[in-house]
Amino acid sequence: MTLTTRRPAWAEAPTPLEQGAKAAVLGAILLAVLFPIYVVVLTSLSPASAVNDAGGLVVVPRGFSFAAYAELFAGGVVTRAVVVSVGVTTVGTAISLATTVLAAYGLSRPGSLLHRPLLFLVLLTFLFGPGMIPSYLLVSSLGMIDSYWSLILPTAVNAFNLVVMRAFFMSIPAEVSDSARVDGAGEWKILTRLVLPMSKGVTAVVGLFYAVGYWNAFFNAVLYINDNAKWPLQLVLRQYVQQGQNISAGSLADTSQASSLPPGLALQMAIVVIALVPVLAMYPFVQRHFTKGVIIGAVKG
Amino acid sequence: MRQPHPGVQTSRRRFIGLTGAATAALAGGGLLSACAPDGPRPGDGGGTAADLDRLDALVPDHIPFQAVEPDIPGLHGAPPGFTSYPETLVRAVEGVPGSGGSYQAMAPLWGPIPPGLGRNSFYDLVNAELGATVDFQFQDGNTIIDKMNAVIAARDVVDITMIPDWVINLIPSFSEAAPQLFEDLTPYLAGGAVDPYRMLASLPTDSWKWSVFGDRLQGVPWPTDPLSEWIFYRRDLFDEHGWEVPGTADELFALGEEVNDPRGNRWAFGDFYRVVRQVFRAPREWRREGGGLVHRYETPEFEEAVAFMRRVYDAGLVHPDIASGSGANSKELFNSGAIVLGQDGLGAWTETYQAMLGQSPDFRMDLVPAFAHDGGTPSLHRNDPSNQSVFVRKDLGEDRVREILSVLDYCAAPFGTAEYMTYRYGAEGEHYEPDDNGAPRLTELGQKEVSNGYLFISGRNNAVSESEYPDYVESFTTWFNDAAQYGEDNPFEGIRIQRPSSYASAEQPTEDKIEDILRGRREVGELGDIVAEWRSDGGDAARDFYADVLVEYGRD
Repeated sequence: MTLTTRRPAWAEAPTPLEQGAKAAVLGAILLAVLFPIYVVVLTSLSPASAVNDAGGLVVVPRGFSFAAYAELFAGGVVTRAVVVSVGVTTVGTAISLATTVLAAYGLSRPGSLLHRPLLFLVLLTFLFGPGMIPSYLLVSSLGMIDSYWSLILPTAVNAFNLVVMRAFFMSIPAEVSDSARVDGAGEWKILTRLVLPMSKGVTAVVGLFYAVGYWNAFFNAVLYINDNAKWPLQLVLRQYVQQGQNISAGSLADTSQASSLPPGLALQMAIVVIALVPVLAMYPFVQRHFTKGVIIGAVKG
Repeated sequence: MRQPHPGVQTSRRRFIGLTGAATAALAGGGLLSACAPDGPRPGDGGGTAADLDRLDALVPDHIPFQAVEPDIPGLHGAPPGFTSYPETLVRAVEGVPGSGGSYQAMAPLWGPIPPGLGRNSFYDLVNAELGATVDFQFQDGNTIIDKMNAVIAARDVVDITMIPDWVINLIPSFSEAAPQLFEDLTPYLAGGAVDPYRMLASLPTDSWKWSVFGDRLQGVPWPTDPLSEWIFYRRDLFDEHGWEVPGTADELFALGEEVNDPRGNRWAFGDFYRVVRQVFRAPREWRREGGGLVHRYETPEFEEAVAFMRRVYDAGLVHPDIASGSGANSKELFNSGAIVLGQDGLGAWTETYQAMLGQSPDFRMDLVPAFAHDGGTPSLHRNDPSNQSVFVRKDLGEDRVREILSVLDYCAAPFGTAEYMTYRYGAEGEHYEPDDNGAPRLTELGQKEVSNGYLFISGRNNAVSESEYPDYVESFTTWFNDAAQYGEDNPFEGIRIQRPSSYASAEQPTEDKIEDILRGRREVGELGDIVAEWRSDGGDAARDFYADVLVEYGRD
């Protein structure tokens, strides 16, 4: 479907009032999206004095300071976590995409061996999760505690993404692969030369889903990673937000006056920016595939 | 020895099943329970069932240790007060505790993760003092319950593990799992065996008893103060307006009406239902009466407390954001003066001063002196004697267990010792500098590197020492020395009890119904019906269970 950009012949030209109203509504929506981001970024870049003067989030710039970012990256803990997160996201997305594409292709061919029982098993995971402790026991018995693999392999294949991809592959006419087969192409060649190039959109979208998932994941690291040096960014950043929230360790720890000042607002906002930026930066590149890809799942099961 | 549940032999498979069930139950919001350490404690409290005499034989002899003579001695178990920071520090531990071993330690942390071993001069300093390497694996403090459930089910514990009490209470069958995972410290510490560890020997005996699970001394406790919460008031506002601190429930109500000024954005009270229960002398949980046990829900005192709270709500004396239950932060309302009196944990005092005095130097708060509704003798709910335990992994061998205990001993050195300053703040001039009052202030390096790790792997005797806050030490110790004498007579004092699950799960719905009464959605007259429902939903069964516990401990 393509959007009609030209006005139908019977419609009159919009009056300036109408256009103004549309512009106002669209502008308001744009503002509602951009303003919070603007405030967050500005606050993260404001010196402590500006935050105090504003009594909260900074709307009018009063000086710039990178102090919050400097504090976050001092000590190298956050820097290291960024490297971990980027690594896990990159490797994880690659592995997830590869396995999902291969599995979806296999399950989309009607004649594949055992494809119905296999698909049933995949769909079953929609309904039943293994639960936290069994997952932990499995990861632990495979010797993956404290290994980066524990952040990737347990979540490598997502049933939803697999089903979306399979649905797309099934929508490719059988004639396409039949003709390729007549020309002597094997399954591997059909997948890489024909099916994949026709599925760039869905691949991009599923890749984005996986990447965002890996980037934002923290709970698997809570469970599987003991070594703080291997913590991903989201978990390290969470610790900053929890500063001064000791709720249970008794009076002494509550009064650890020197070490647990609640974090400054600027610091909190810097955390938001750091967590946000990579996804924000990636989005424009995948965005044009996005609507197309998402609708696939909506109209085909 | 007799167990409360003699038939329960928990196999590994069953244990995992149990933990899984608890996890499922937790998924719905169990993390929130972290915010209410004094609230109902569902699940299993550890279920130790040694006789008290037997407990006496399991815990270390008490050898008092005083680093600095307190300016205001603590009475009735209240912490002692120090009105200034000591000029010279006492060395409490002779020689080097460790012998070159290297140990992993798991503890929760609420705060940024410091740089790890090898890139952290604070760790290097303390580990050099210890003569042993402690490698911390910090856990996200708000999700530690999930982590501990998993780690204990998989038996993946590290050498030194700190587990907060509220987490222990939520781990099913912890007392069955503990002996399989953690070293029995009884032979190392019980009675006179504690002699080499003088700091550990100085911890209160009651707190040690709390670390006995299944007839074995399993952990090193974190001694707590005898009381945990009460009503704070804004002393600066009281002084400014000439208000009088209340001494009876009627005075409290009258004060509320005088103070309340919604037009001026000032309300008298935050919620203080839990403290009001104590004001009306309702028991914390059970009370012995006429040869049997009576739960707080069934006492006339409790009904009076509920009726009083209802009056307070009806009169509009509680801040509307709190009355509407919209999850308003009562601390912020108190700090800004929108609430003048409110209940909070006692540690809130220094926390609030730390946050507020910088921006408003005249900000003052204080605790309302302990009182009862009729002006008679108050009856306050006592804290559990310890609220965390530090466990040592099983089968490390005697030498390594002894080395770990020496490390924990060092980290148990109290306020006034050189060791305390080192494991808590690092090196003077490097990680911290004393401010004008002598209070340690972390330097930039200190803020980056210092953490509460060493603090958390042991416990120590408490002290009220934050003399940098104006009048704080004097006011707090005065209040505490008075209030600590009014501890309620609890028939189960010092006994760690595994709560029957029907009893534990009946508590929250009942509290919710009572909340409906407080907020005006039900009438006070319906309390009888609510309590009758509670009885049939597990209350009566729990009464029998608790009565059996009394028999078992020879307290019947």
